[in-house]
Amino acid sequence: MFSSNWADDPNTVLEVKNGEIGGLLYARDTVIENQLADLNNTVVSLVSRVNAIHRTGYDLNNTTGVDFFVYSDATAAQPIPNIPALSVKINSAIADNTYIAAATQTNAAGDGNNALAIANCVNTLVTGLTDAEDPVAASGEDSILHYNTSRITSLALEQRHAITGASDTGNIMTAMDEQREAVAGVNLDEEAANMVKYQRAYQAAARLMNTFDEMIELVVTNLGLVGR
Amino acid sequence: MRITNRMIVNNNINNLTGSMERLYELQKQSATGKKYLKASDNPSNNASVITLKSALQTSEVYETTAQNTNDWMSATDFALQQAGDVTQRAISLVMRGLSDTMGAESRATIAEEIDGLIKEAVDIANTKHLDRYIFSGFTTDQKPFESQYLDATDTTKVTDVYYKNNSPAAIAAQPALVAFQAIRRDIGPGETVTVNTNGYTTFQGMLDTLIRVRENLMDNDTVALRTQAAALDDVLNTVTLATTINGSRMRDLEGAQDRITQSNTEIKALISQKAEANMAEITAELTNQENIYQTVVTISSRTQSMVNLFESLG
Repeated sequence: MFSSNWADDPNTVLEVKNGEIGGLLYARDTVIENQLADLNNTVVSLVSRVNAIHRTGYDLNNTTGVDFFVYSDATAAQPIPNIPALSVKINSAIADNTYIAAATQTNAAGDGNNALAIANCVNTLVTGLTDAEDPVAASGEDSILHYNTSRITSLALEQRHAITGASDTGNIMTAMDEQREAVAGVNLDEEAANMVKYQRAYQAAARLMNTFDEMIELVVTNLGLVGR
Repeated sequence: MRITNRMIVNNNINNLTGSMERLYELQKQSATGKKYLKASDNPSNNASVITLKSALQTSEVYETTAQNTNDWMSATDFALQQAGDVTQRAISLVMRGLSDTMGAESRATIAEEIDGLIKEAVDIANTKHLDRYIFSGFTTDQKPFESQYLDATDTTKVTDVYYKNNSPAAIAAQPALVAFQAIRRDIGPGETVTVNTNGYTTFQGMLDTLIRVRENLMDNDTVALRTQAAALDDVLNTVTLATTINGSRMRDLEGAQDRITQSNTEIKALISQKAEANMAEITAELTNQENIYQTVVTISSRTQSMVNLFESLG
């Protein structure tokens, strides 16, 4: 997927750990990546378990050893493709229902014991599978159902965690902003009061000037008549 | 704390947004009827709902299986009762045939009636339920009892009945050919029932005895016929035993069906309790939240349009 590099140092990938971009990158590279890996594990385990049991059974035509699921992207070198969840499909050899191996023995139209085993393999371990074939079992979980439920729950918890974190950080930011605002912000009443205060002071100063002017005028006009 | 006008405006916006968000949540809940829409709204609750839903699906399949099994067993029960009736009729015919006042000709007439019973018994042993032979073990697509005739072209007189086309000699050489193939169905976690009844042990003796009865009547051989009367009593016991076993299985199954239905109801109630919104509660909360929103709007408009000192100074 896409990554950004420094313009002056093309070999170093720009790592953003915080902020909106950091969050988006974390979701893309960690959360979704883990979910995809778990989903693929679920698919691989289900396919391997169902196939392992299906191969041992017999269908209505007495054929055996046929896989139930196949990967359309599988190659001889890589029987399990990179993204199994995308390429899994039902084997075209069993498109007809009479080719589903429901019986544990030949010539047994009424025997459904293999179908029963397939139904149970979702919750119970199938022996003889490698870790690569059954990653769910390799992770220490017998039941694919539980594995899948815990995958969904872990995604839900991750999201819950993010929502709570965003809301908490928002609250802290608001509190800090309020403190800054308390010091640096403008209160109109305060400004009005101050304005009135300075206006009054100015008026008082002007009045004082006026008084001095009158005093000097008195001196100038009333003392002596030289020059008149 | 020194309060500035910007703080009041920001506070108003925050309050309005918060109140709107809660309204939006309630609107979603009331519109969908669900307590939450995303797993992240309540992760632990969601996990148990997933588990419960999966349990419900499994349980509903068990319910269907139990019903199918019950249908099969009812068909078996009906067939076995008919088989019992046929045996009873055969016994009374044999009793008549044993009567000393009977002559060879009247015994031949009774033999004709027994012949009819043989064909009836073969039909019963080949009973089909939903196009599957119920007394045929796993091979439900194969007719269990094949009538053999003296002459392939003349199908009026059954000389022998072979189980799955195996002659008695073949069966004696390889008893596994007639081994009971029990069809089992899961009707609960770890609860398995056997669906079918052993066709070979139930019907082979009956058919063989009936054929012998007919032959003895034709041959007017009352000494042999007397031993067949005792054999028919055994046959009746076998059929009655099979009916009883099937009946007790049906009773067990009905008990299990009741349990499954009850547990389904309980699981559904749990899911509803965990996942579905309580409409009365939501409506009440919605009204409350509406009032809160109205109040927030009123307070916001009043605090923001408050007369400040500038205006009052004129």
